Amino acid sequence: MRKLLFVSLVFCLSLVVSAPVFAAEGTLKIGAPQPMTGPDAPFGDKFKKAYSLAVEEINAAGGVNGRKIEVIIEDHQAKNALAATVAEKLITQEKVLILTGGRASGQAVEIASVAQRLKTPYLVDHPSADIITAKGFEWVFRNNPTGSIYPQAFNKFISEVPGAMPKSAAVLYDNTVFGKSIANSAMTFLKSRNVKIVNDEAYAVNTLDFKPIMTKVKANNPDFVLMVAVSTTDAILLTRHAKEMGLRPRAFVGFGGGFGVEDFAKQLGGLSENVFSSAAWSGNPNDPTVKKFYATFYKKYGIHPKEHEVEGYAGIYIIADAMKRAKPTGNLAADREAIRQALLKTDMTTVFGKVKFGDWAGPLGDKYTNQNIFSPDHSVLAQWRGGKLLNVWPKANAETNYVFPEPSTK
Amino acid sequence: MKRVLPVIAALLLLAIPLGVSNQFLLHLGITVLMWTILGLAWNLLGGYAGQVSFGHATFFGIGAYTTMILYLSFRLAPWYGMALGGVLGALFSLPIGLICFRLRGPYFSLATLAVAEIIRLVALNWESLTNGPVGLLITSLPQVTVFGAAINWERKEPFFVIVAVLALCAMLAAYLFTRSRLGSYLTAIREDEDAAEAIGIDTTRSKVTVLALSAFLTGLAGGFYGLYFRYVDPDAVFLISLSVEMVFIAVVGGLRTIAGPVVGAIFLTTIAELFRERFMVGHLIFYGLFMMLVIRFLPEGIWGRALRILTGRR
Repeated sequence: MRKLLFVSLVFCLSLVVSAPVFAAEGTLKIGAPQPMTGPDAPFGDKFKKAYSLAVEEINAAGGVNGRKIEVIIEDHQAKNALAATVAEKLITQEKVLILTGGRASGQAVEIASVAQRLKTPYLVDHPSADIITAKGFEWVFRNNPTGSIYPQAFNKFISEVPGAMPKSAAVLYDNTVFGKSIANSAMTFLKSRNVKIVNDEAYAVNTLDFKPIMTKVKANNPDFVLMVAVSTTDAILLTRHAKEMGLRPRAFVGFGGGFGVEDFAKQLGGLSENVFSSAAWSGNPNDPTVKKFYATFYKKYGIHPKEHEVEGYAGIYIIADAMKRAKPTGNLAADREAIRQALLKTDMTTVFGKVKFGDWAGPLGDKYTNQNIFSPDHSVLAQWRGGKLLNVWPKANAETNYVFPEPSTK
Repeated sequence: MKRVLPVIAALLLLAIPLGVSNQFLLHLGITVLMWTILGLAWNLLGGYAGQVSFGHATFFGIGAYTTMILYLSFRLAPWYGMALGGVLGALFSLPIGLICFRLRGPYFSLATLAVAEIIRLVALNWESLTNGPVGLLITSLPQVTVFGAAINWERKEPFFVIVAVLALCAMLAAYLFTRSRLGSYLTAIREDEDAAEAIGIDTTRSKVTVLALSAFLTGLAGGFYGLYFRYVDPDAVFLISLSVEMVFIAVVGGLRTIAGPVVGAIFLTTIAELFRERFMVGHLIFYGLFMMLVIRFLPEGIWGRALRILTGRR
C-alpha cells in the first residue's frame, strides 16, 4: 500500500513536469483571467463559452486582417493575488496583446493595476466597481456600466411616470462592492428628490433568513422596497420573506443579477409577479442582433445566454475591431500601444449596445476614464410578468406596459 | 562550513535579481519569499510552541491595511507603514493571547478563527477607515533614489530585494529564537505544560510573547502585500483560506525547522502553478491529492525528512 501510494506521488509529479500544451503560433492573443475553479467557477464557464463563440465566428469570417485570434484563459480562483499573478503571466509569458475578463471587481482591480503598470490594454467586460475606471488608468477600458449606473432606468422611471416618485423607501443590499455602490447610487438620487430612506440595511451574501430584517422594514411601512442582490438565492429569499411578512409597498424593485435570472420566477412562482428589475443590461429580445445572438448561442450550447454571456461575447468583438484598426506588426510594445489608441477611437455597436470610450463624471461624482459613454442608456427597467422578465422602461425599449402601483395595494 | 553556508545562501538570494531579468520569474520569487515569511511566522507559534492558530490572516490583514491607510491618508511611505503594520499586528495579538492562553486545549485555535472573521466584518463595515468592500488602491509609489538612481517601482527587482531582506531577517529572528531561553521554555510547554509550570516557567507570558513575535512578522508580510499588490480589500487579506495556507506551508515544509517554510513556500507556489498549467480545471483536485500524499508519507514535512536523512538520524 505504502509503495503504491508512493508510486502515485511520483507519477503525479512526473505528469506535472512534462511539457504543457503551447498555444498556436501566429495568432493574435487575448488574455482572460477568469475564475475557472472555486466558488465563482460557473461564471468563468459562462465567459469561456461566450469567448469561444465570438472567436469561432470571427475566425470563420477571416479573422483579423487575415490572422486568427485566440483567447487564453487563466484561472484566478476568485483570489486577488492570483489574479495579479495570472495577469502578469499572460502579459510577460504568453505575450498577449490585450487583456479582458476578470469577473469580480476585486480581481479586476488587481488586473487593471497590473495592466496599467505593464502598459497592456485591458478591456473590462463585466466587473462593475466604479473604482476600476475612476483611478485614471489610461490602459483600462470598460464596456459595461459601473455599479452606480445600474439604478439609472429606475431613476428615470420614478422621475418620468406621474405619481411614481416614492414617498419613502427601504433599501436592502448585500455587503459587497457591488451591493454598496448600487445602494449608494440609488439612495443618493432618492435623497436628492427628498425621498425619505426609512431603512438602510446591509446584509451578508447568502443570508438564510431575511425575516428579522423584514420585520424592521415592515414597522416603517415603506412606499417602495429596493433590494440589491448579487446572489440569486438572496434575491429569491428577500422577495419571499418580504411578501411572507406582509410587506405592501407600491413597488418591489430588485437590482443586480439575482433578480434577472429565470430561477427567480421558477422558484418564486406567483410571488415574482410584478417585481421590477433594474439591471445594467437586459437585451431587447425583439432586436434582430440580440435575437440572432440568442439563437446561435442556444444552438451551440443548449443554454439561454444572459448578461454575462452577452458582455463576454461583445467584448471580443470590440477587441477584434480595435485590433483590425491597430494593424499589429509583431512589435509587442508598439502593438499594445496601437491597440490602446484604436480603442480610444472605438465607435461601434455590438449586441450589448453602442460603445465609445470617453472621460466623464459618474452619478456619484467619480471621474471616469475610458468608460463607455453610452453606459447610462444601457440600463433598463424590467418587470416580472407571468414568469417572464419584460422590459417596461424607458418607453423606447419597452416590450409591454408597466403594472404600477402593485394592484394588491389599494 | 556550517556558519558560512547560510551567509552564502543569503548572498546568492540577494544576487538573484542581478542574474534573472524575467519579470514573471521574479514575481514568483517574490510570492515565494512572502509566503516564506508567513510560514516562518506561523511556525514559531504553531511549530515551536505547539499553539495552532487558524486566524493568522487577522495580523496579515492588519499589516496590509495599516500600510495602505497610512500611505493614502498621511502620505507615510509604505516601508514605514510596513513596520508599523507589524507593530500593530503584535499589539493586536496581545489581548487575544492574554485571554486565550490562560486556557488549555483548543480554545486558542477556535478563538483565532473567530477573531479573524470578526476583523473581516469590521473591515467590511468600518467604511470611513477601510473604504469598506471597495478596498484601498495605491496608484503610484513615492520617488526614492538610491546612490543617485531613482528606483523604478514598475520593475520587480526592488520588491525582490525588499522581500528577500525581510525574509532573511525573519529567518535570523527564528534562528535566534530557537537558541534563546524563550525557545527552550516553549519547547518545554509544548511537551508538557504542567511540568513546565512546575519548574517555574510563566507559560502564559511565554506563549503571549511568541504570539506577538509571530504576529509582528505576519503583519510585516501583510504590509509588503499591500506595497507590492497595491490593492487591499477585506476578502483578499482576511480570508480563512489565507490562514490555512500559512499552516500548509509550515506543515508541508517541516514543523520546527528554519528552512522548512522556505521549502514549503517554494513547493506550494510552484506546484500550484504547475498543476494549474497542466490540469486546467481539475488542478485543485490534484493539489489536494498531493497534499494528502505529503502528509501521509512525510508527516515531518519535506525539509524535516530531508534533514533527518542528511544528518543520519532515524
